[in-house]
Amino acid sequence: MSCERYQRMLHLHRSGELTEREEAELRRHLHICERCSVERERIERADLSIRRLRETGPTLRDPDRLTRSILEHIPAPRRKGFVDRLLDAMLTPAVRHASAAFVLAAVGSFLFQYYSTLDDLANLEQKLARGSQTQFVPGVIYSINSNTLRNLPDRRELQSLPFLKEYPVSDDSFSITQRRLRSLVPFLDLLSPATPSLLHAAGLNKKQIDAVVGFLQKNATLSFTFSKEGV
Amino acid sequence: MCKRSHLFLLATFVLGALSVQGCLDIETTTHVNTDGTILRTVVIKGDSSEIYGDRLPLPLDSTWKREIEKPDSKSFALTATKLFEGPDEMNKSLKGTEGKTLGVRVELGRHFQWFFTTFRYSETWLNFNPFRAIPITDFISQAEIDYWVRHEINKEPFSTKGDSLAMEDASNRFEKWDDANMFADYFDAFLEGVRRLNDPSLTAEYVAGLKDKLFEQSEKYFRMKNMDTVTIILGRVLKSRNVKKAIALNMEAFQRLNEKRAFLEEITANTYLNNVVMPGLITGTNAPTLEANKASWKDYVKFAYFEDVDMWVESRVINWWAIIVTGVVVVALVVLFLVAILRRRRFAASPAS
Repeated sequence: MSCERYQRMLHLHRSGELTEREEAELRRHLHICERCSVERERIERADLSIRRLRETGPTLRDPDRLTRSILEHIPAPRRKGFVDRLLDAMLTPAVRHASAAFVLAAVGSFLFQYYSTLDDLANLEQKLARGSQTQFVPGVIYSINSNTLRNLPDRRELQSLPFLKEYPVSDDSFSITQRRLRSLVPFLDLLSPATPSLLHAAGLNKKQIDAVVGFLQKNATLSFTFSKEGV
Repeated sequence: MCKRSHLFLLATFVLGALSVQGCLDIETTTHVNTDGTILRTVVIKGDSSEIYGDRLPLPLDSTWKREIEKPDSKSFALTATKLFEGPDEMNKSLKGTEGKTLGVRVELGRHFQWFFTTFRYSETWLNFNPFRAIPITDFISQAEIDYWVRHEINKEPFSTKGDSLAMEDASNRFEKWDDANMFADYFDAFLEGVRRLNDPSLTAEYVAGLKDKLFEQSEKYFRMKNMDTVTIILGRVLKSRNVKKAIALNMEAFQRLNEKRAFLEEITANTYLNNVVMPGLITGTNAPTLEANKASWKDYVKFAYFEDVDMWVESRVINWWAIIVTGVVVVALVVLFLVAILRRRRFAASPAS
């Protein structure tokens, strides 16, 4: 058997892990093998040194004081402040999701209200623009009829009105085409408004019709109405 | 023969009234405040007898602060102002007296929507016609009335020629209703007189049976307020000489009828302009004209002749404080989240960890 095995057995012998038979065998080998005996002595010296080292540990006069002193020099674990806790909380899924939902809801709600306001304003502008448009009906002839027209000493007197000179006067009425009526608008704008409109739906706006009514009443002393022909 | 002018019968009615009555220019301005209070200002221009008289067409009691000025040599201007705590107080003050003043009903809605607060103010000028015997809808459909009002007050144009022609027909029916409605009161008063007369040759049943014929024959003169001719026609149709006696026996009713007609003439002789100044931005209204945050209506009282006229405005006020608070919270959340992430990364990268 090689010495290597007996040297391994020496270590097992230290810890008492050999059987009696192995112990006897090891003893017999040590009697005859110097190399292994030297090894055993080296091990025993090492063990002795270790035992001695263990036995010669530092002795303290007041170990409790030392313990206290050490403990005093160890910094206590820092308590977390409000900001730390808040920042930690921000990373928890519940707070994170709730925050995201809040931001989305706030921004979405603002945008919705903002754009619905714009939409309302656009509708209102459209409505006002539609209402203020003068609705001319192309091709329709408007005529002025009057019973009192018959009684005028000279029906041509009506045509002497500056803006009606060109228009034909029949026995009891005269007609103005839509196009001509519209051409009067710039002139009529210069006239002062007189009475409420009777003719808004006839195609002119109220101011213009008021001007026509006022001018005719003032200059021709007529009671008249307007109508469409050929409709 | 032309018919278009009939479409604007009420305007003619107003013109007719103008010819017999002095007229007032009445401008009402209502300031709606964000706190829900309402400042109402009424400016009435006219001659001294009307301004200093006690027959103003709007209810202005002693709680109103009044000032009278003389803007020019011919006219006087009465300015009356009152601050109302809310629509309830305003309704009590403006409800009016039937047959004496116009009545107005207001509503104010305020809805807080966090970023904006919406306001809805509506002012309804109540039907002031004291003659209520026959509903107008017996002659003109509500749809036609609505269309007409939209066209006249809101200045919505007729969309087709057919629409305008339909309105001409409706205006004829309106004229018929107006006459029939007033005549019904007159006839009831006359019938009561006949009952009081207790004449066997002129019984109430006999007179009631001829109501339609009496109306038909006297309509024209009744409209012209030629009551002597109406009386003659009644006598002729009823073949009785006791018509005047029957009228005399219920004179107080005829007196009331005359007062009602006089009230109508007074009201319709005036010109009216109504302004509403809203807080914030106006987002909706049925007013034909807008000037910044002021909505204006005119010529609306003629429609209160046969129905309540509603004028409304909606506006939106921006709540800057709410926008700032929300902005700060949103920015704070985003910043906290970013800082928390950066902090965790730094911690993870440190050797101690």
